[in-house]
Amino acid sequence: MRSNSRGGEWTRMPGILIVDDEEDMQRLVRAVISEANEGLKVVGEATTGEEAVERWRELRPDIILLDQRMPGMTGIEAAEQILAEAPDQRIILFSSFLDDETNRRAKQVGVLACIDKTDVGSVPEAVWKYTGR
Amino acid sequence: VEVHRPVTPARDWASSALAVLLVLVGISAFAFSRRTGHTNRLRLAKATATASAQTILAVVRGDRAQLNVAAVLLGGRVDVNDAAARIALRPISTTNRAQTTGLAVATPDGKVTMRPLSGPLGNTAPFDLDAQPNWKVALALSRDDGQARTVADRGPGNRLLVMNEVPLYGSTDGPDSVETRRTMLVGYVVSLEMPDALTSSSLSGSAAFVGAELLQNNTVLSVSDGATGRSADSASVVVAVADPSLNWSVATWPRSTRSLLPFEYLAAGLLLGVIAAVVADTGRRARRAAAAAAEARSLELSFVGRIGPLLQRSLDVGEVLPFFAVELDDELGLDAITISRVGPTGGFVRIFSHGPAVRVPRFPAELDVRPEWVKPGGTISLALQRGGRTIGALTARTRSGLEPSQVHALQAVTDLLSAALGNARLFQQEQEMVERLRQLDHMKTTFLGSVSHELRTMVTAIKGFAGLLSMRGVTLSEPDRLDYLERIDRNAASLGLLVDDLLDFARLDRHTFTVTPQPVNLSELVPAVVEQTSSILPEHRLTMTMAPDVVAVADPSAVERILVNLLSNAAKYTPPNTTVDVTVDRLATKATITVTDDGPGIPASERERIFDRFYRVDNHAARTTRGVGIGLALVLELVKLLEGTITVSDGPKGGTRFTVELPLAVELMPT
Repeated sequence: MRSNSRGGEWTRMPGILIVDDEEDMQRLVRAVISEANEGLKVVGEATTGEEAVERWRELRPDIILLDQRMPGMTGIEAAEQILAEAPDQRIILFSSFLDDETNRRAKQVGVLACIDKTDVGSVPEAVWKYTGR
Repeated sequence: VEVHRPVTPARDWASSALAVLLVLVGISAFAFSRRTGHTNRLRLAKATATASAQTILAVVRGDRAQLNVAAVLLGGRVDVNDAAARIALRPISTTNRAQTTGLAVATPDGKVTMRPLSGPLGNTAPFDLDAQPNWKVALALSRDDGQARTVADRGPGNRLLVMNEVPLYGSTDGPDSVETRRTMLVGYVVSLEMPDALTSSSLSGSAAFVGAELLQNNTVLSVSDGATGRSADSASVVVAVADPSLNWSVATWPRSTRSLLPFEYLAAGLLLGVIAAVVADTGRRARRAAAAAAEARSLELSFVGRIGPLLQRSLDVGEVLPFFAVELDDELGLDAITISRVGPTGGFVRIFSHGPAVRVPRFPAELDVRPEWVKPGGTISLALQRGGRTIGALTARTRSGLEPSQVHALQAVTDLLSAALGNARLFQQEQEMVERLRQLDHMKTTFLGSVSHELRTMVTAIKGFAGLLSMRGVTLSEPDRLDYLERIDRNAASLGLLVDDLLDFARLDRHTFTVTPQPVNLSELVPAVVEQTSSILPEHRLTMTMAPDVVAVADPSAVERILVNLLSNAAKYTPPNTTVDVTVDRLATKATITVTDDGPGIPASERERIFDRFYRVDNHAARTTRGVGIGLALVLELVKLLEGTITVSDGPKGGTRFTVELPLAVELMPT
């Protein structure tokens, strides 16, 4: 996973875990990231919060793109559980309905950023920003 | 607040004393009147005796004076046939009708013949004096001493007669020796007095109160009318007539004839006493009754005063009733209490029991009229009423019976209980309403969240893939481009379906959704709709079984909405790669559209509610799929508009089967 350059530095490609219950959304995010072609790599996908936790433990991705509204555990709940185990884990909340309360809760548990799903084009930029490479 | 005066025993005591006093007064008056009457009559008897003695004396003296006059007038010459003698004697006879005058004629052989001349014995034949020894002795003594005498004896007809006699000699100069007198005697002038007449006229004036006797020594000469002799216990008054020649006396005594006066006093006294006693007793009873009523009322008020706040302590009836029952037990001795409510079928349903079971009326109509009192061990049932309607009953068994005031108190607390139960029911209804509204509010919030999430997800997908196609269309591979287009198409279809549902839903809500029933060939319409909708079931196998020419009376667009929603429902809640079957058939007079899937099925307990608005089955499939909870509610409304029915049952392979029945068009019904 050491290939593309950014800003003249050689870096390891940031691995992304996409968590969304909508297959369309997963496909869209993957396509957007693929089309951005900026050295990002989708390392895994999950459709529920519980599955996300499992996949995170297994894959240890650089960053998690986490849907908020899912059956069962919500995105923030999954983030809370993951951050309890690994406080440094980078997580971006990716939701179609972001209100003040959701933003506040996300910040509170340690989520780095919240991105509206309609702004899916900004995902690659945000991933780069928060992986710090 | 009721203020009642305490009744002092002093008032009762006073009235009793008054009654006793009046009775004593009556008895005293009686005794006094008896004593006074006796004394008065004794005084009267004394006066009567004195007066009678004087009268008799006056009569006798008067007669004696006349006799003397007669003797003077005769002048010593007496002839019984002499007219002058008769004339002389007449005044004597007229002075007192009790007397008979006559001559006693002595013959030389010493025989004396009595010749009554006037008066009551005037017509009597001459009678022999030998039959009257007292007279004979007196006449002989008078002949010898020349003195007048009075003596009583039984005369003719055994009548008591008192004889006054004066001897008559043949010369005016009285003979001076016994021998001369014996030879010169020619006869006697006599008057015969009848004491009967004398006493009856002089003694009878006070006969009602006084008895009287005229006595000569111990011989009763006469008795006053109606006096049947002296009574042994009566004091008598004896007065002598006071004439030396008469040994007469008058005895009088108070008669025991009872006067009406004491009776009146006695009766009045007793009557007053009885009246006073009755008045006193009536007053006492009334005061006692009033005191008892006031005390009962006071107890009732304090009891009701305790029960009222107890029942208001909580709107949860179950929390309050045990305390209520214990209070009733303590206060009224009710060892078994059952409280019932009128249930949905109109009969009583027990909601609370304290102590052993008692028999409760089954229906409000079986409740008796409230009794005045209840015997020990008896049972009483009182209606719990609210707004004039019986809402329940309180049935209780009493250990030691219930007085009327206790029945009254029980009724009062029963009324309080009615109010408390009514309030509790209202509170419960209000709570249920609040809960329903809360649920509705929650469902609406969830619904809005679901709708916005659904809309944004679809819009995001469409916008995202469309953006990819427009930005990177040149560099995309063919499979990717087709994939994106297909995703755009499917999301657009779902978006259209959701928007249609929302619009239909709003119209149904406003009752502005109209259908135009017409013959619809389901065998043609249904496959067409399935074909158009297939894009929402890309991962399912779709099968169809169409009976030919099934024509229903329906509205084509409504049928389409129903079918699309049922297919969408199957797409959401069944896993990929399962089969969804659509069948059109006829069943008796109905046309049927059946949508059957191989999914996880719907639990029986949920089937009632799946047609509710905003309701979503709480299972994994529901949690993992999209949906806003109005699809099946919309289907039900539409089926109703078409006068059809929809049922849900298990599919043959464990999935779900929805069956819509619509009326068959008449001309095509099988004959």
